[in-house]
Amino acid sequence: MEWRGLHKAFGRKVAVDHIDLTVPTGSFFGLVGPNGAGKTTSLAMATGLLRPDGGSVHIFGVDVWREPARAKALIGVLPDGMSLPERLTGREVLSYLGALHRLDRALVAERVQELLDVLELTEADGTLVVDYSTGMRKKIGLASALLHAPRLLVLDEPFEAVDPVSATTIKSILTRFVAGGGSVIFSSHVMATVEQLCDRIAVISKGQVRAAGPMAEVRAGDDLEQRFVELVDGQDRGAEGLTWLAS
Amino acid sequence: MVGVLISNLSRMKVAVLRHSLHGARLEQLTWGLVFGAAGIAAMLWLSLSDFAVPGLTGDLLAAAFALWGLGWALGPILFTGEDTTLRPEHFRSLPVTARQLAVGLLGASFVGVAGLAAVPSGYITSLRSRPR
Repeated sequence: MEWRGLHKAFGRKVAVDHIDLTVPTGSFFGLVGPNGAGKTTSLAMATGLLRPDGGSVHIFGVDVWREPARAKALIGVLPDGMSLPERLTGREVLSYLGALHRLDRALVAERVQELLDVLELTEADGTLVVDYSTGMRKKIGLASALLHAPRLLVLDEPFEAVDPVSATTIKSILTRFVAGGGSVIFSSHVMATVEQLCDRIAVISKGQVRAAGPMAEVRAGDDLEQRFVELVDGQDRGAEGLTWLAS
Repeated sequence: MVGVLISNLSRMKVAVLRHSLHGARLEQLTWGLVFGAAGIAAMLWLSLSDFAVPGLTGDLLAAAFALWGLGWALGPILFTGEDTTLRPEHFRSLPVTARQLAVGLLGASFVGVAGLAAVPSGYITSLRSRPR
């Protein structure tokens, strides 16, 4: 996946400032940055969900904004705050989405069953999505991204609001996916997770890339969290002020 | 592709309606049916009436049908709130164009109380709206 000069402004605020980024095929790519850095905005533009003001995105050579339908067929997306049909069970949502991907009915049934089993969503079978917890919604979103067996996964905060057991499951699914030749790019602000999973990383802040490349290179011998704070020139302000808190 | 969209989105809509057959949603659905039936009855009555002005019945029916259609098209946009059936953002990651999706959702929108009621009311309108 290639981003070239990707740009987006909301009114006067520049959310993504001419970002260039390459996610090589086969990489496990982490996109990190502080709140409001432009992670969600850039991922939405990269997946054909939000029209950029400028720049281009190519996925396996397909221009996302020239041929959105062709590009979307190649990727599995977990968007930020994924919107799901509320009045259906998780199994129904996945089954219909599979059919809408024009997958064979028996194949869909088989894959949905497997995904529900692996993600431990089987007990949620008789429950409507409207009654799901945030973590369960996220898992259904992830299952819908995997359903059509894409070659690239683009996941916005896949580990947010998921319990540790599910997070471990998701991690091993993604690791297996990459080992099998797939590529993953995901955003997170949990450095430990990114450090554990990714072989490549990009640090973005205020809509710009601060550092990008192989994990070891970006980390430069330092601890990733430390390096991250340095790169986004944030200071640890926790030591000053708030004296009333300790008294 | 549009055929696949319409058939599957319609089936989804049926599933949503099936899940709505209890509690507050059922009440809402029932009121929708009562309102729809009342509307059809009113139109039927209108179609059997004759006014001094020739052609007025047909005009009134056409106006009522237009109002019905307008409410059906704009209602979900104006009163979003509780209605959580099928919305375009649920399908934005699918490999289809915005136009195909719009046609698919339009097709699926016929499944439901308003869509079903449109058929008889449209028929009644056609009875008296022929040019004379």
